[in-house]
Amino acid sequence: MTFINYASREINCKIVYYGPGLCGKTTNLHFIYDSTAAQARGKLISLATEADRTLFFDFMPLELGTVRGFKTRFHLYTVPGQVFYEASRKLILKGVDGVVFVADSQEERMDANIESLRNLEENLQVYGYELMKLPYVLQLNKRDLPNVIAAGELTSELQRKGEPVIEAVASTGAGVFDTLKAVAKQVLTELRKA
Amino acid sequence: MVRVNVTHELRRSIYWNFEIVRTESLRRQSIGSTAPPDFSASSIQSIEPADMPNTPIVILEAQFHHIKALLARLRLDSAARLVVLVDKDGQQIAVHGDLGDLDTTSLASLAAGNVAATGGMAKLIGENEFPTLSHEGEKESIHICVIGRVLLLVVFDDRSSLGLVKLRSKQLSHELAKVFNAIEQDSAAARANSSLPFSGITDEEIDSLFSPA
Repeated sequence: MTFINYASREINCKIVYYGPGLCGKTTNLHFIYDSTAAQARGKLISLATEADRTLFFDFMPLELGTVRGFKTRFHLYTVPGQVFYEASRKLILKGVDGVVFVADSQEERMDANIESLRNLEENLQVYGYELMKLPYVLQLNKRDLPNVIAAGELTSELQRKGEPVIEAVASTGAGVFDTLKAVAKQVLTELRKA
Repeated sequence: MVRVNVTHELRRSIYWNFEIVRTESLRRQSIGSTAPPDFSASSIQSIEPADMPNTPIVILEAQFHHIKALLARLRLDSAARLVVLVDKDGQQIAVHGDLGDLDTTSLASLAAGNVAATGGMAKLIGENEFPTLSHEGEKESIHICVIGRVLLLVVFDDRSSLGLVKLRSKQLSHELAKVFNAIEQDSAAARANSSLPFSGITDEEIDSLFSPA
């Protein structure tokens, strides 16, 4: 839920990166963190297992700039992608303003993408949200791998409502900021509609 | 108990409108005036009320200062280092005390995650939630008290004790609950009277955020 603080003149919005296990959600955040000036970002908090798998969430505040005299700060979260962390995953969606679904483009992960997307819709409904009405971007990640499904085919399978679809290679940063920009723009546009 | 069912459309509408707040002084200033409102003097936060988790509320400047004063009192009475009020979504509402270089944004986010996780555990064993959480470290400790939709977080060291912090937090939580009940009652009117400071945002303004400096 967008949180506006007139005292410090800040707009805080919550963006959640969702997707199946090992699709690159945390890698998106790491690239943003590494590519952003220190004064524009806070700490990157990762609650991960010893094997670097997300256990609860990753969190990073990012300041984009000023609009109408208000600093726009985005709180970026990831969810744990592994199926058995369902209970934790659901908690992260509370108060969300925008969602990025990070799809794994590899052929063998297609079922996992579909299952995770269905899971996202169900978990949003728990809080009374509908994917169809929420700022939302579909990122097709890992486009550099040899066994990927064609972008058009992935899009026709995973796109829900004509949302922006961005091809990415999060490990090199390709498409990472385009994704963030696409979802952030939708969130800010929602403020205008209010 | 009366259950209020809000349609999704209405809820979304409230979501995007809840931030629009005016202080009492601002409202007086703008009545009969054609000058643009000055938000610079405003100290306003918004959270959700305890029993309607999807209905945002509005905190006026006077109420905000009252909350800040309560936090200051708690810090003094409990000999704490820091007192933070956080909403359950992880947004910091107010803070008082010795901040130092402490990253309160991360602290608020993690506190909310902590409460959400333990709340999930509580439900699994048939409890609604765990109203208090305590974490004791070698030098610094944290006590969290859940008050409806907000979390009262106290950071303290060996100049205080868990017992004292618990006692003072519990005493203050009753007062904070009263404040938020009053805030909830005032919120509907405040929302109805609000304007939309971001309704005029242009595409260019949004795009400018993403332009290279």
